Amino acid sequence: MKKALSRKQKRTFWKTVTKSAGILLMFGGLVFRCPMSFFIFPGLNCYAFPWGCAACPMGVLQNFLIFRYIPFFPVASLSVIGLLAGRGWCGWFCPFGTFQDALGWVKRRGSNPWIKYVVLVVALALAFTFKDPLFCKICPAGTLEGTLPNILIGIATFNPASILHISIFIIIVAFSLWISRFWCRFLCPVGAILGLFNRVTPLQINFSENLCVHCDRCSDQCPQGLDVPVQVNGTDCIKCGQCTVCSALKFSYRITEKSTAEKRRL
Amino acid sequence: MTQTGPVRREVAPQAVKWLICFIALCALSCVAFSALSFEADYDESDGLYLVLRIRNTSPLVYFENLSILLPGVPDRLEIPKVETGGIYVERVLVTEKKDRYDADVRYTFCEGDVCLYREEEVLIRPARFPDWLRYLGNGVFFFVLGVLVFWLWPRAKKAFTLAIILAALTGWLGIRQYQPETVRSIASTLCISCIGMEVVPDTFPITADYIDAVLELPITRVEVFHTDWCRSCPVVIEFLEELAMYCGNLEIIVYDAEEESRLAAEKGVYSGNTLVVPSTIVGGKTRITGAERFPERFLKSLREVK
Repeated sequence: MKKALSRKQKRTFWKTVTKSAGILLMFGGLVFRCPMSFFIFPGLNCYAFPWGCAACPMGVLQNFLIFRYIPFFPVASLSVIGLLAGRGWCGWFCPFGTFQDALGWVKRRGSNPWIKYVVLVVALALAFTFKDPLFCKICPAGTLEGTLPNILIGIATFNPASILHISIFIIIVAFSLWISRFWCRFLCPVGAILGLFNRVTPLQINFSENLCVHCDRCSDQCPQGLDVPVQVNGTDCIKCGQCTVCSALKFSYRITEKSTAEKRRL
Repeated sequence: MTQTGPVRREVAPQAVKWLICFIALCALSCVAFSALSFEADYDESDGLYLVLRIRNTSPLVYFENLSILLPGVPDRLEIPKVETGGIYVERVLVTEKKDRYDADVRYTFCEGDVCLYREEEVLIRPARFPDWLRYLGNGVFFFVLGVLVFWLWPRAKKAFTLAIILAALTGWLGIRQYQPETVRSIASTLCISCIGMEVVPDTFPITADYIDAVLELPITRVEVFHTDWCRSCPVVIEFLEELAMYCGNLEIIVYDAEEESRLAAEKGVYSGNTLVVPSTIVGGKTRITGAERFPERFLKSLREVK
């Protein structure tokens, strides 16, 4: 007899599938043999990665500002990505998020919604004024997917710039071991952009107040350290679904809103 | 059963307001900046002509003293005035067909009595598709968008529908300006110093000992692949060209890696999917990537090739 899978098992299964898809897309040039495309990666993924086939949103935005183009296409692509799943991409797809998940065993409370917006604005402003993608030079995803593989295949060498890059990466990794998803929680600028779409996207985690018994189990599970009943679906929620431990929290993907008749029945 | 207790009202959250501001700003900037549009086509009936249609799409501003410099064309095109809503057609005799022209455009744009001078680089591309196909494409795009919005408006969240409209419009503008290709070219070229993998000095000094060491070696062909926006490429090219002035046994050839991408692929300048610049190929064999400690590495590979 077939055993029915529990909600958690199903979620874990699908999350493994989508996270693997994210990593496969990161290795696109090697796995699918796709050439470098104009497709913008839904997450933080360095295009210096030798086998990549999608562009990093931050790198593209910075370079557009350096060339003094108005980034219509990158903004439109990010809007479409954001409208599809908001920060769901962070929790379910982004390879750097997967890396952070692998490190983040210690779950701590507390998050800060605005630091990452400061990072985003400062990174873009610096790129605009100094005509140099300075954020790429400190980005830890750039170390993991750009500097380290390029050192391995002998294109880059150890020098002050790459050592700075690697040391920042090590600091972020250390913090991630201490606070789960440290980078996503406080600093990631792509998460900041996608966070703007979190309330608008059809992918929502519905919280019904009537069913909540205030046991706080959901907040204990949250890798982003949110106070789930209040901050679920906010700009910091990555929609990973760890909080759906009780019947008060449920995933939904609805483009259309419920009709009034349906609402009354509930 | 009627609901008891306080009714939970969905208040428009902060994020939605930010989102609307964010996209509205983008939409506003496109109205301000995309007023001057360029379309190009080839006319081969009587010699090869580039037909340039300059259109003022803005309902408010007009342009004065428009001056365009096309690469490969010796004289600047001078147009005294482009009226509001006006179209100006110019025919230019060209020698060969090109995919793209990076035109240097200078103009004064005026609204009422207020005028501002502006210089910009405009990418002009001869049309690949006939006019009717482009109009049909645009028509289909806006029809589908219209139907989608008409269906969504009463059913979905208003912010969601608005965001779809704005995303579609910005995307359409971006595609009209060939931005997907810009994205591809940014992503496919790895400029080593841009990603924080090397520190490059402003110049590499050339010493007499170094010149003597190079002069001892046989005649070598050195090919450099660069892009015009890469930061460390000028340093490498300057160093090699200066060295070639002293050392007659070096033959330096400089290629633009983006224009000569097929040659770059043949020469093995790609690593995986990315084009690595600056790449120096010494004697058709060894490749030096980047500019880190360039003089030492260059001399070492010159000796290896010998």
